[in-house]
Amino acid sequence: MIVNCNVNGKNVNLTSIAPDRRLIDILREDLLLKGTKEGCGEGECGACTVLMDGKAVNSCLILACQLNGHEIITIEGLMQGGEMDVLQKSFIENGAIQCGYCSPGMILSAKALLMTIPDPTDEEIRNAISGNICRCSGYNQIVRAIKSASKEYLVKKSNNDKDE
Amino acid sequence: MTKMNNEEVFCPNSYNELIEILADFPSDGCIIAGGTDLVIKLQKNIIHPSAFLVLGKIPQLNKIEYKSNYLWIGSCVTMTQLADYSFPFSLQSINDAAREVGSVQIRNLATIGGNIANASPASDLQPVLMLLDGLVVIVGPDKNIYEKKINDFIVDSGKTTLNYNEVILGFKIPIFNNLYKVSIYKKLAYRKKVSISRIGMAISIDINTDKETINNATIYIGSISKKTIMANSIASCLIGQKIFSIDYNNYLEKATEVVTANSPRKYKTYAIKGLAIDTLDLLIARSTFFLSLNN
Repeated sequence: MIVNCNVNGKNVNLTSIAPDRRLIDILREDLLLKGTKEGCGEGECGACTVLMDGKAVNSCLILACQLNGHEIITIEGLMQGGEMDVLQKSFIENGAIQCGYCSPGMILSAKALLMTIPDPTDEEIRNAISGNICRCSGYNQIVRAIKSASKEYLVKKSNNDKDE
Repeated sequence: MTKMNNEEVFCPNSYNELIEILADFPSDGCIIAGGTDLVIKLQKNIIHPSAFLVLGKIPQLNKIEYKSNYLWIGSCVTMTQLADYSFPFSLQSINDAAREVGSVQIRNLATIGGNIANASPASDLQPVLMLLDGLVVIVGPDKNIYEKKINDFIVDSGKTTLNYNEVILGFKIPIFNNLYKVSIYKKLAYRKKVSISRIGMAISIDINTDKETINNATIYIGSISKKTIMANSIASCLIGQKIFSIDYNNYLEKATEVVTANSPRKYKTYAIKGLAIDTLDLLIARSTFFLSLNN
């Protein structure tokens, strides 16, 4: 089948794709976007989290036949002009990356949260990442990194508003 | 209709297109709403469908809307939509149950139609839709739309009366505007988040116009048998009691009896007490808030 969707801002036309091919396999094997990781393959661990139309979803649970017309953002899509996203920098600065396997999914869950709640409470952050498992158990640093990123986003937004 | 360059994938954009597809849909085809359960079955080679019918682009199936005397919930409405929707107190058990399903990622994909069609004994929505007297609305290839009570639709664990060439269009939930009605759902699981229900308890009460006496009560319990069961013996303990001075003893005794009679898992006969207390505490708190708004 043919799938037309948008991945990281680029229109993608996938031809001869099996309808039951999973999004994670399309991303990693067909589009060579290896940042998205596979963990459990059952929607339990959140390692494969990507954004679909701005919402966090498990890419291991989405089939090619569901993709037409949708907009996907992977961890690679957060980079703008060669510069990392505020969240990515914050994860590094706050020691929120240990083995790093959960980081892409964790960051995208955080991104989805901050897109809807710019100044979340600790509880809202923990709820938002409750579907992402960190086996290094670095949750405190992760929550701190998301909190710190939210403050930086707000400062940036305020500066942009002033400029306008 | 989008026929994705392949005879085997159908993606209808309207109700009429859906009917057309159902007329020739193969018996080994599969219908996808959110896909969260289906993809796992595919990965484990449990199913090998010859065709896919992808729902989700049909507007009627994505809506929550009030009709004259019922609430319509389309079958492709996601758990996130249900969790975030502003329901009246009588229907807030829907919010409770939807919030308890999986993770944020799962809730963004999983649909109410899929949850009911899968007929899992651990479904969070099954007890709630039974509690609220929900009707499942089904369409087949002959364009005949019919309704069924959820309790009649779910036959056994993983089994419903849905035929291979039928689709759930949505659910009708009766609305009683003139009643002081409050509902709640709470579940017990191994951990706080992203966990499957071990026992799910749904309670609905009607409060008298004196604003303290419970006139009627209904209780459904999920995850203790192959399908959700109605627990009249527990509910009857609440009827006639004053909302702010409920005697828990008889209620807890009956709850233990119901779980003991239905579940082979011994821990559940102990665990139900904690869940029953928590659920009733939360119901009282919600009712108190509701009554404060109606003073």
